[in-house]
Amino acid sequence: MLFTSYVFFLFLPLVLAGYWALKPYRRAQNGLLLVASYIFYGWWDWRFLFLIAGSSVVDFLLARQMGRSESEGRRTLLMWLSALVNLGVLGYFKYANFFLENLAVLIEGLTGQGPAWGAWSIILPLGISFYTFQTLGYTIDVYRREVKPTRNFLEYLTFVSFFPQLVAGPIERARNLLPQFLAERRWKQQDWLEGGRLILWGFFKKVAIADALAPSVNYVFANHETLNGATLATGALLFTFQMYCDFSGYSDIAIGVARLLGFRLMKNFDFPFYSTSMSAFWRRWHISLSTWILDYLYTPLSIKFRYGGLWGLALALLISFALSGLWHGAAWTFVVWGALHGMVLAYEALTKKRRKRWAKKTGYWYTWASRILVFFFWVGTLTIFRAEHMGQAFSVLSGALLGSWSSLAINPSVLLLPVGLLVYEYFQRNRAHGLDVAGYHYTLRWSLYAFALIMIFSSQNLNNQNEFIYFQF
Amino acid sequence: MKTIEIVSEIFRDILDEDDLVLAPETTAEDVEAWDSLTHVQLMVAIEKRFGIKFSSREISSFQNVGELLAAIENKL
Repeated sequence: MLFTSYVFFLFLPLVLAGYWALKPYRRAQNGLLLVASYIFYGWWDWRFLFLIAGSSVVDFLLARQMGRSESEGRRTLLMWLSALVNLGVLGYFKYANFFLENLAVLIEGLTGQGPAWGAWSIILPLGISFYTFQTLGYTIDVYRREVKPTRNFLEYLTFVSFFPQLVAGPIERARNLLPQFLAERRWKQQDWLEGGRLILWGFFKKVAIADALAPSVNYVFANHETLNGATLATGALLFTFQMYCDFSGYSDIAIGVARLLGFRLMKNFDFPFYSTSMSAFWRRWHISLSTWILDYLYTPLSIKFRYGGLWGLALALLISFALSGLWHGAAWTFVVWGALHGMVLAYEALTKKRRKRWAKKTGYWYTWASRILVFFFWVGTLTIFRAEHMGQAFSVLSGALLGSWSSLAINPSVLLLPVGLLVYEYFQRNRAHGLDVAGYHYTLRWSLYAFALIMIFSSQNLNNQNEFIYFQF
Repeated sequence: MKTIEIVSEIFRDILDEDDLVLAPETTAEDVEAWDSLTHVQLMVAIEKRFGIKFSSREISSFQNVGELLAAIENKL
């Protein structure tokens, strides 16, 4: 079920009414959430419900076994078993064909004759990368003794499948979300106010901006061979805004919907475009994934490589980012994208002291030059992310830089809304989110609400099956 | 020199913050430059200076400077 579909507009009020009517009965509320979440997920393809239920049961049981065992060897074994099951399932659905394809190319290169196998027909289950990481994070936390294994089976199933954040995050941590299922829910007006604003803001970004930009972006990437430099560059820029509005819009709706149910989810975006370094950017973009990678991949690696000095650190960053690129999908474009970010982060770590001195000397200029550099590095690398293969990425990027800038094949007025958003959010950047307008004069507040609503309804992008970009990951 | 003074010196050098003062209750939250990247550098410098070795689990489990100092003194 899509957040922007009419079915969801019917589904959500029904769930909310039932949920709050059951209020003193916490377990009944959780049961309702579980049923609602499975309906929400099963709306796409009910067969994959077995997969998510299986994944939850396996990790629930493994974590319980871990809790009962005092032997470190056995605990480690159980943790690796959980990793093997989760990554195995993810690997099969997401990477089997990628592996076979590359193997075939390798064999052909070595022997001059390709193997006879073709691609397997595997459908990617929605949200699998997200909930797999969420449930795997839980078993690792139990292994590290940072979280106690839960005995509440119902609550654990709901934790893994919680419908607001099931298909595209924020990837929650057990220590934040699981206790909330065990606590009593309180109905607060403040939650509804904030939740409502977040949902409105998320819809505005998704429907009025991201979906409105999609046709231009698709046009540019599909016709990249015949378009000139200015058009390719504009296309790349538009995709940057589309991606931001699509994904942060989804996150805002997810956090907002959870808030209506009395839950607090973690922040996933924090105005990334005003960052003055890529390290700062990654603390503000898809925060739930970057902190996941940081805790479970980068930190153990960097500790392992710690005697390698700064090169060890750089290697840990490179591996972590290349793998986080691969998490997005089975394609070399994602690996290259991740590796480029790993390299830039390594560069930043190696030059930290020097950059700090420059910043002191040049002040204001340094801040703005860094912001612009970070922004365009992101636009450039995101073009690789968007491209279907490296050849296309290269063609768009080289075309944008070297091609002619004499005319523009798309209507430049599509830039108006995203650039307006960039300016508006600059002034909002120290607030909780784009539409955190608490305390503003009521005419300003209501003008903003009205503007967002008008843009949403006039965009005609509601209920037209525009999936969120991150659903494919 | 007391352990805390030596550790403070290492912190000031690695984090490039000349006026940094550490107390046992100081956490990474209190020191802006003390992040996941610099943490590992700090640990390596401390291991070298005192001629000790931390386990991976210790490195990722210190909650504040006090716990770090206790672990160092335990190994001396």
